[in-house]
Order: sequence, then C-alpha cells, then structure tokens
Amino acid sequence: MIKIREVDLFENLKRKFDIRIENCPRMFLDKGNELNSVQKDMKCIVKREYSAFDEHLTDDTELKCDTELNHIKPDIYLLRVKKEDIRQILRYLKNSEEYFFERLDCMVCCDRKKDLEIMYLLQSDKYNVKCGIRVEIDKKENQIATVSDIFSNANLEEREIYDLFGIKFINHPDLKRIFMPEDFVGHPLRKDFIIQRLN
Amino acid sequence: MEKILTDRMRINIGPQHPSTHGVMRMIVDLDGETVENVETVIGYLHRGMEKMAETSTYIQYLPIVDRIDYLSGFFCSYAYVNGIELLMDIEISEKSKYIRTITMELNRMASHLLWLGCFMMDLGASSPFFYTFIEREKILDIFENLTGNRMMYNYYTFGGVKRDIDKENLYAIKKFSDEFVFALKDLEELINYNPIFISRTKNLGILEKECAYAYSITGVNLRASGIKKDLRKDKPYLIYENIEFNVPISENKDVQARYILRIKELKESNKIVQQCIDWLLTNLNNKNIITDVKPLTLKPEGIAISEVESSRGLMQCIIYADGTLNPYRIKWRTPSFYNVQIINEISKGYLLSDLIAIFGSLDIIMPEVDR
Repeated sequence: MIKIREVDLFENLKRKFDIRIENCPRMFLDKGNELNSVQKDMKCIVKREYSAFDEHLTDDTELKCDTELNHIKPDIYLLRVKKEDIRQILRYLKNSEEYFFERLDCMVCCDRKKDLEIMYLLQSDKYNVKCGIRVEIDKKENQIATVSDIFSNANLEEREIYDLFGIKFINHPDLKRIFMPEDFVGHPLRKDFIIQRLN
Repeated sequence: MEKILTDRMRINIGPQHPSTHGVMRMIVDLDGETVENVETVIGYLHRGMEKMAETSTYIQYLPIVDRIDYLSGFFCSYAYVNGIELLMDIEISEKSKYIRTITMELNRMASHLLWLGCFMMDLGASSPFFYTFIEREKILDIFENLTGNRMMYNYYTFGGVKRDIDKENLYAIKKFSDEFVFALKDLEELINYNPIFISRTKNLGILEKECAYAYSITGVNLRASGIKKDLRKDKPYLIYENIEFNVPISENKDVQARYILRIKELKESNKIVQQCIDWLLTNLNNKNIITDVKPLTLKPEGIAISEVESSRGLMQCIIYADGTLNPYRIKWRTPSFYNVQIINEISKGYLLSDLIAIFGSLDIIMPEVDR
C-alpha cells in the first residue's frame, strides 16, 4: 500500500510571500486511483483536509458579509495574496519552472460591497491546471499596480476593469475608458451605481 | 532600384466598414502603404450583458446569453447553463449530453462556414460566399426545426435541453452531413489552389508562439501557431471522451494556416456529428432529456468557472452566486476580446490591403468583444 505523501504545492511560494490558500483540490494516492503524470509532476497531494482550511478561514469571520464567496467549482487552486505582492507573485508563477502558469486566462473583478476584489485566473498549459489569485482592494485607496508588462493581454483587461469598476492601475500605459463613452459619469458594474431610465 | 519617397499618414478604418464584421474602428499609421501601427477602438456594440445579469433572475438571463455571440449562440448558452449546473450539482442525462454536443458541433460548422464566406469576400472573391451560405442555410434550417429559431436558439436549459430531437431531424442532419463532405470538397477545389488566394495569404500575418501565449490567444489562431491546445481534448466535457476526432495543428503560423485549419476543423466537426447521430438513432426511445430542477427558484451559491471550446477559442463564464435569486456577478471571457489585441502585433510591416486579410483571418466577431 502506498503512503500519502504530504507535499505542499505552494511551499516555496509561501516561504517568499505572505499568501493564504483558500482552496486546494483534494487528491489521494491510496484511494485506488493512480495519479496521472500531470499530478505526479505537480506533486499536488494536499497537506490537510478541507476542515482544516475552514478553520483557517474563520480567522476573520467578522469580515464575512453576504458576498464572501469561497467555494469554487470546479476545484482549482485558490490563493489570497496581498496586493503589494501581486506583481512579484505573478512573475514568479509565470517564470519559475515549478509552476509555469504562463497564460493569464482572464481577470475577474467583483464589487463585494465592503471592498473590491480582483481574481487573476492563471492557466498552466504544461500541467493543465488552473489557479486563481485573489486580491482585495480597498475602496478608498482604489488602486493597484498594473501587470500589463508581465501578461500582455492584461492591457485591455485592466482598461475594462477601470471602465466598469473605476479601479486605477498604476503605471498602465494607456488607461482610458474602453466600453463606455469618454464623457460617461460613474462606473456601471459597481453595486452603488444607480440605473437611470433614459427617456 | 531607387528608394521611393513615402509619406507618413494616419487613416481611419471603420467603425462602419464591411470588413470589420460589426462596428470597430482602426486608426492606422502608414508609411507609404506599409502599416506601422494599428490602434483598435472598441466598445461600439457594448450592451451591458454583465450588468443585465445582476438585475435579472437566473432563468430571465438565459435567453439574453445567446446574443453574446450571435453566430454561435449554443456555446454561450452552454457556458452559462453548465456554470449553474456545476453550482447546483445537477447531473444531466446521457441523451441531453449527446444533443448538446451535436448542436454545438453543427453550430461550429455554421460559424466557420460564415467566416469562410466573409473572409473570401474580404479578399475580393465573391462566389465562395454563396457556396458557403448554401451549406450554412441547411444547418440553420435544421436548427429552426429543432429549436424554433434560426440564430438565437434559447434551447438549452438548466438540467438538459428543452425539446427532444426527433427522427426527421436526425435524418435531416444525417443527409446534410453526408452531402457536406462533397460540398466541402468543391469549396476546397475552388479556393485551395487559386494563385491569387495563395499569394494574398501565404507568409502573411505571422503569429509567433510567444506572442500567442502572451496575449492569451486560444482556438484555431493558437493551433495555427503550432500549439496543440483544445479544451475538448485537454479537459473533455460532455461526451468528447467517447468520440474519435483529431485536433489539427499547423506550423506555418500565417493566414493560410488559419484558413486550412478551419477547413480541417469543419471535417472533424462533421465526423463528430456523424458519431452523435449513430448514437442518437439507436436511442430513439430514450426520452430522458431533462432533469427537473425548478428553474424559477434557483438559488445557487459559490463561484463557478465554466469553460467551453467555442468556434473562436476558449470561452469562459465565471459566475459569482450569493444564494439569492439574482446572480451577484457574471463575467464573460470571450475569445474575440483577446484576438482583437494582436492585430497591432501581427500586421506591422505589411501592406494596408493585407491588414484586411489578416484581420479577417482572426475570425473576430464584435458583439463578443464588446458584450
């Protein structure tokens, strides 16, 4: 019988940056399912059970509002990182051979009422896995560093988020509205945007 | 030869230009007739699809979804419906899986055929347009019989499909599929060896692998650069595991490679359709097409990332559901939005008339870009 190897996939990343793992797909060796080559390469046998993660998450229960959404389907890796580190982490995940997340699938922004959140969805074609990196942005501060020099397609993505949510991206080459007209007032996908009837 | 003196010029293409397939503006910097820089201006077709989701219930949003990409509405429908099914843990029946696959593949063929006609029109050949539209018309007739609509189908629903596919429909598809092989042969003979076509497409608009990765290009445009990446093979959804088909790739990276791959993909789709028909014809008595889920009171919770390999590339629908009747946030990742960004990269140094050919070869559709 094979023993469960307890290897933490993001061990190296954790040593370097302050990250919190929110979701990690469960894979077991001793359930009779042979690991395929992808999983062997990634060494992604999870350290703890889900309950342990839940415990970890209850640290900030008072922050929890009706839009604290944490269970994700299908199971992908989900990391919560600090916004100061985002450029370094993305560069690390893209370039290091350990991960090779070399494609930014998309950036999803969401207004969670108390703050704004951006999820960077990364895809590793080499290992065929997906990883979501979540960053919280304070509504008063309302800005984050651009990643358009790391992933080229982030250029238009960031313009879209600026247009619809009003987040400013520091050092973005061409930050202006993309969908709405230039003289438009407000950012339509914010929850406090009031829809007016245009007669 | 003496170097011809050229002037630098800035010209405007669009928003209303036949070759932009919708409303899109390109500001082109020219040196003589050579393209130096292209700036794309998008947003003329923005309809607020994502905002609309927040103000409607899950079932109310369903018919709108087809409008995101009106040439291949089944893919958008599937991405949305599948996201809700993931969140609610709904298992759909085997037969509805087959029906979804066959409709999606037929839709892929219709979309590619329209692309082929319009692309040839961009290059100045008008007769292939009519041949492709004859075939596309047959597919649309099949869809009309099956769903009641020709373009905005609204056919999938949470837990399955709305109507059963009957014997006449299946025979109509079978007839079309058998004849399509010959129709495609005619088309290929008409286009493939045409010297004008070859000289206008070969070694044009080279898209390198690194550039394709940096801009997150998916679908045929990525495969034409020599990267074998297809969601149907990498993470098989529906019944693609049980079906035999190839993913054609090409190393040529140019406009012609994209054309050839789309033709090959038409053949592969036709193969998939034929395998689905065989299964459906042997399971005519199976009436299990929908799982009852009470769609009016759906209250899913969590985040779903639903993916589908649409005719233009990887389409994702990301749903944030907070346990109420309305979606909290829906984000559409549409492939054309990414394809639009590489026009500047791959058209530098070519002539202005080649810009239209390069733009056409990417198969960009504007409602999908602007949403």
